[in-house]
Amino acid sequence: MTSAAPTVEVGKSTYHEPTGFSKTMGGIKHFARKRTFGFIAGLFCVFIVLVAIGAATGILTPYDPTAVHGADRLLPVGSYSVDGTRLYLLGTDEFGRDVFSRLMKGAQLSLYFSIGVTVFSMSIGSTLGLMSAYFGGKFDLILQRVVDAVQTLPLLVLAVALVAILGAGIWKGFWVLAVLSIPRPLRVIRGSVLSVREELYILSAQSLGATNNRVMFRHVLPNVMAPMIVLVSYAVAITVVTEASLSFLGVGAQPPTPSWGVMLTGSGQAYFQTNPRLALLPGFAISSMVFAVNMFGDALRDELDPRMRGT
Amino acid sequence: MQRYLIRRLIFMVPTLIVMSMFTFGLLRLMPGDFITAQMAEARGADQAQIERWRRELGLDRPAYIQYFRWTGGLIKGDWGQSYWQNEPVLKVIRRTLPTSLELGSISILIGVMISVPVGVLSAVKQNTWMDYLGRSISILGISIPNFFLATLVIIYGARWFGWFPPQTPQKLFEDPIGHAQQFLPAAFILGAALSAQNMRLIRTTMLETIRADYVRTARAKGLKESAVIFKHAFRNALIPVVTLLGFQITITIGGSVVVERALSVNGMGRAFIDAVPQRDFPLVQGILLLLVGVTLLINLLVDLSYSYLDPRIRYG
Repeated sequence: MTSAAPTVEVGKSTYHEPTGFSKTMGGIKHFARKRTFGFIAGLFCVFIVLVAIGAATGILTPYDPTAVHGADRLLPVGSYSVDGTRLYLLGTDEFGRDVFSRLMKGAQLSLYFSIGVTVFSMSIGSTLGLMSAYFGGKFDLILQRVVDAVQTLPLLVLAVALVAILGAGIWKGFWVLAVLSIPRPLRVIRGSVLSVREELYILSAQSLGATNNRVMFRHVLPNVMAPMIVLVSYAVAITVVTEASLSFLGVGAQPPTPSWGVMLTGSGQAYFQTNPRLALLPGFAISSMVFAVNMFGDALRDELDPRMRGT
Repeated sequence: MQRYLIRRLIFMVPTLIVMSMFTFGLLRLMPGDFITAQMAEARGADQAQIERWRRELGLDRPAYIQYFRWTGGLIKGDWGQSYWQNEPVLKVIRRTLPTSLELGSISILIGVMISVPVGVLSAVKQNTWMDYLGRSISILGISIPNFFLATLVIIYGARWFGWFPPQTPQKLFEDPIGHAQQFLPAAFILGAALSAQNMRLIRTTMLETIRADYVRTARAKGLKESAVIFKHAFRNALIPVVTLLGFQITITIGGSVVVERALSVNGMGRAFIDAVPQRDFPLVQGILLLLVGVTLLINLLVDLSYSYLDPRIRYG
């Protein structure tokens, strides 16, 4: 009779490294505890995203944001339409359009625009920055001189010139800003890659025969993720303001598009004495969104930058 | 040092040439020129008329000939004639640049006056309520767009003080009070945003220098705390701050378009934004190239100031 095999496995740890969902949740909990303000700002960003989705699907906007109601011009906050069928939570503008619906639709536009510009400029900018630093040489030299030259002009000045010449409009504004936003991530990522490139693990990967693509995307890229995440938050904040500025100057989104910048410059400026809410509401919307993104970005930076830990 | 200076000045030439091609090419790549911009308003001119106008302005020539004409003029000190304003580009710049310089320098001064004490205090008293207050205000400052701040000033200036932004330019020597009323709100609006950026940077760099060995040495040899903070920590924190300030000078000269528009200040930013939709190529090119030149010079000055701030930095 043979004895039963021992059931105790020796040397196997009972501790499991948290993975997937629980690890993410743990990270969020830690972040919320340590950087409460940043966490609240992050929640606010999520809230804006939800509002934008609600506006896009029309679930949250009570009325059509561009529908004109001639009888309901410039109604104050919380008033009913003349025929008594509609409740205007934040009143109406000079065309009798529901300000509440317009603000929400504006959130959607602002968010789509800034995320789109950021995704485009970050992916192109960081890829170019990565290649520029990794390969060096003539490619790097020429690219950096081009970036130097473009950066001698303020972003807003160049954007205004380009959009105005191309003919005002939201899509032209989008592509101009998307292209003009490339140099910043390019610079920052290049700087980070320059230092990562000298690390021993890069050399060991190369000497194991890894291809350039593999080294760049599997070894270098993950190690410059921290500055990239922070850059994304700043890029979103800057783009929201720049889009609104373009609209304010009359070269971005055109009326009746419910862009926050258009609302502020159009009815906001015309009726600033009698109906200041028409300027104040979109202004507060822009400011609070940018404030939340900046606060969240700062907290992320403190969390991800090892030098800032413990502060 | 001299050799460094000469080398830097020589290196500016290719950048200026590239940027002159860039601004020139950009405008030519876009659809439409001055004549088409005018035609949109005044319909009915016949084709022969249009051709004659084009020829008078030299717009019928190939682009490269137009480019060499323009740059040839630049070398001789002739920046061309503004189509829209109907006067030499240099004259328009001479009229509007002082306004922009004044607005820019006052706002940078305001920015520095607010940001230095608050930034230093925020770093020295790290993680106290003063630090949190300073940081929150500075994030708020960079989050409120210029034009919203300008709108707030206009709304509440009228409501509370009966103040309206003067609609016409007020000259400093003819009407000093009207001049101040026009400039100070604009300068304050620009300065508030600049101070917010400075404050964050001063705090971050101060936090690093304050922990440096030389600061401990300064304390150990019994220096007064104020001398330790300002002579040792702050001076060494200045290098990134000066870099940012240099950057801000160009931004305020060219980038104050929004505030100039909102508060009716007739600076260069205003002239620029009015010239663009008119396809006033000579004026747009002139202002853009001037901005490039100013940026290059300021970058040089910033680099030179490094060796003054940190004597270890030597150029040779």
